[in-house]
Amino acid sequence: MRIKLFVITATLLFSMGVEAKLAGKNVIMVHGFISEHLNTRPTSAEQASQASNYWKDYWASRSEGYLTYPSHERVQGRIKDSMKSQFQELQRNGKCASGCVFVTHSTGDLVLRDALTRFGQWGIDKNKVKVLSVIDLAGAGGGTELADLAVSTASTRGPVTGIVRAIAGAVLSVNFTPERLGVLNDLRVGTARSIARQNNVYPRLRVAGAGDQFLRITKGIIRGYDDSVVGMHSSCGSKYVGTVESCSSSVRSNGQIASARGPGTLLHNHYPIVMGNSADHEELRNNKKSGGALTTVVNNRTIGGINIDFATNTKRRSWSWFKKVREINGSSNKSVSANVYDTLNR
Amino acid sequence: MSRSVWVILATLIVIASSTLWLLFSDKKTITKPAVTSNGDTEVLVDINYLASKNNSIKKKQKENELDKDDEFDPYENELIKAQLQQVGALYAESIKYPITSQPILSAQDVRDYRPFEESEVDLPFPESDDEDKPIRVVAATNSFQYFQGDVVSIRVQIQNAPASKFIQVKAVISGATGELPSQIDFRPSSESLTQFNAEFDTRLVPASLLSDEMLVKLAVKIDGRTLNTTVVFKVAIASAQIVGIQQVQPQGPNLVIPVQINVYQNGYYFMNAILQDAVSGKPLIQLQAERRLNRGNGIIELKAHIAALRQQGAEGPYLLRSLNIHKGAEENEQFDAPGSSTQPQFFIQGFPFSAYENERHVDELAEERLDFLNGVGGVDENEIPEQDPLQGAE
Repeated sequence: MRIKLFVITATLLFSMGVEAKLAGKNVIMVHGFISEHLNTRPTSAEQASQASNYWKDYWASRSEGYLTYPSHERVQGRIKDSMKSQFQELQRNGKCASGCVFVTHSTGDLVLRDALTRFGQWGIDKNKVKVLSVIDLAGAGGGTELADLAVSTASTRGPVTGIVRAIAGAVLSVNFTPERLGVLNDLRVGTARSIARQNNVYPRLRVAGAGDQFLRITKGIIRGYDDSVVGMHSSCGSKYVGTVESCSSSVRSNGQIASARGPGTLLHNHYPIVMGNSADHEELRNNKKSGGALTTVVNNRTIGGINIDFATNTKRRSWSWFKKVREINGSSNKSVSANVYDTLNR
Repeated sequence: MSRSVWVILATLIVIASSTLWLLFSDKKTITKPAVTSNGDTEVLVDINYLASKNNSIKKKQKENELDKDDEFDPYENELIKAQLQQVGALYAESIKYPITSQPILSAQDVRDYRPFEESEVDLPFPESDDEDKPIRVVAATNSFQYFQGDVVSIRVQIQNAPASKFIQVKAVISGATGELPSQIDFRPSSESLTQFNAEFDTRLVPASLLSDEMLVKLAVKIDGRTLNTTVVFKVAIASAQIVGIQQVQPQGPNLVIPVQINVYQNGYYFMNAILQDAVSGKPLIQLQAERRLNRGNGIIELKAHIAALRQQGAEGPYLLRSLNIHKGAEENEQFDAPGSSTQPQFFIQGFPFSAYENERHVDELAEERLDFLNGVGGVDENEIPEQDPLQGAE
């Protein structure tokens, strides 16, 4: 009898690990660009294993599954074919019948945006695959100038300067072979923005960063502020390319309450929610603290008749020449992903 | 009356007068000047009056504080949740209208790309690690998507070029089958010595050498250096062509606009367009629709919902402009296939709002998404937030 009780208790305890849900809904992850694919050209099984590895730092234990795709292929080509079969499987297995939250990083933003426009084309029943929301971490749906650099470097005969090669090579880990650039071709700014232009029904919650990962070598290449790989013109969800330095025109990326270069127009149903001035491209998906506080795009407003005044979250900072700075309390004590997940999950 | 009666009456009057004086004098400040021994004047204040006045003030303050505690702010330390509430409010507004018929809130939201904007590539070419203002090459084609038979205009701008240095710009065009045989020489622009223009006429190239995706491979020679960059553009044979609009009429809650299409390739088609007020020129509604079409004559119906028309206060007439159509790439196809239009815009007849059914748009799946947003953005308004012990410590 005692042994039976022990087994039952142990089973319950092990099953009460971190829930692979967010606010009670299944979470499906869509990874970003995996540069190894350009050389290894992996099979579907190998892609699945790499997808799990991509998210292992934080989200893997909080998700119900992954959508994978071959980074050596094109978004409207074999990538969309891969997405089609995976969404058909989701329809079959019912994992999203009660609603799923999708979480993307980087190129995953563009890949998922294209796939979600094709449900009608693929005969996917939206009542059987319910997409409740998409959280886009460092979304590259608007492309990146680094892809322009990589493709240009690979495609032209001229000499490649050491600096240019260092930038493209270090940041993107690519060889300069034009026919082996795969999805990087789709990440060129003009090309990315030509993909899946229709208005979409799914709320896209954008999380953007302006941190530095590569000793600032990308800062002169990407327009506006960037997280070292993707510019804020993309990660905030701006409809047009521009010198975007914040997701808001009245809150700067460091939280300063001051006018800022924000996106003039956002893509339909794209909503920037959090900015991290110190958060770089990788820190927006892993579990590392970004080394700075996060801020939101919202200002004081009325919710349900209550006047919301974030006075306790707005402090004067010496580094800001004692100007007011709005910070998410305690946000510098944990990673960006933890901030987002913990808030949405309670 | 006897003397004793007069004394009693007088005493009663004095008592009554004193009582009345005490009652009404509470509202007045009791001060009177006094002369001190050294001749200065001082204002004397009644201590008892002050004490009672202070007590009543303290009582009022306490009552106010109690009221304030009742009005606590549940979002005080919940910035992200407040942000999500805002998202919910915006989404709630958006789902009042079908996704196929979204009111345009600002003309800027639907502006067409300016020439050379869509395809622009702007890259720096530093010579050293710490170069402050490197040469930049900004290159673009006047559009991004072309059809066979179009002429592609190419523009190259050199920024931060050293003064008085000769600049030469050349390019080759390449596609999936390799580079085209002829080189393109650029001519300096009349507007600026650092801007160069050229054209590429797709009619002069065998169709077999054109592919869906083409590259302009640029070589800019300046000050002994050769700077290389590329611009991508697309060339297609139209998968379908919009040729006209059939009879437009209100059906139920929608203004139905049947768009006539010559379909060249079987497939699943996506269409979008802007409905604009024909008189004021104000863009009103973003319309979109999709369906499978077979080769031959086809119709795609764009539907402007009455809720969106009312929101814009526009009964017509209208113009239908910025029409786009493309065939979605099927399995094993590499790219979506764009279509074209015989006209940039079409005139659309208007109807009074009374001609439509006033049916509210309801999308249950969208309501589920809204519930989710409100759920993750909600706080327990009855839960008093814990005070952060470190708050105010900095």
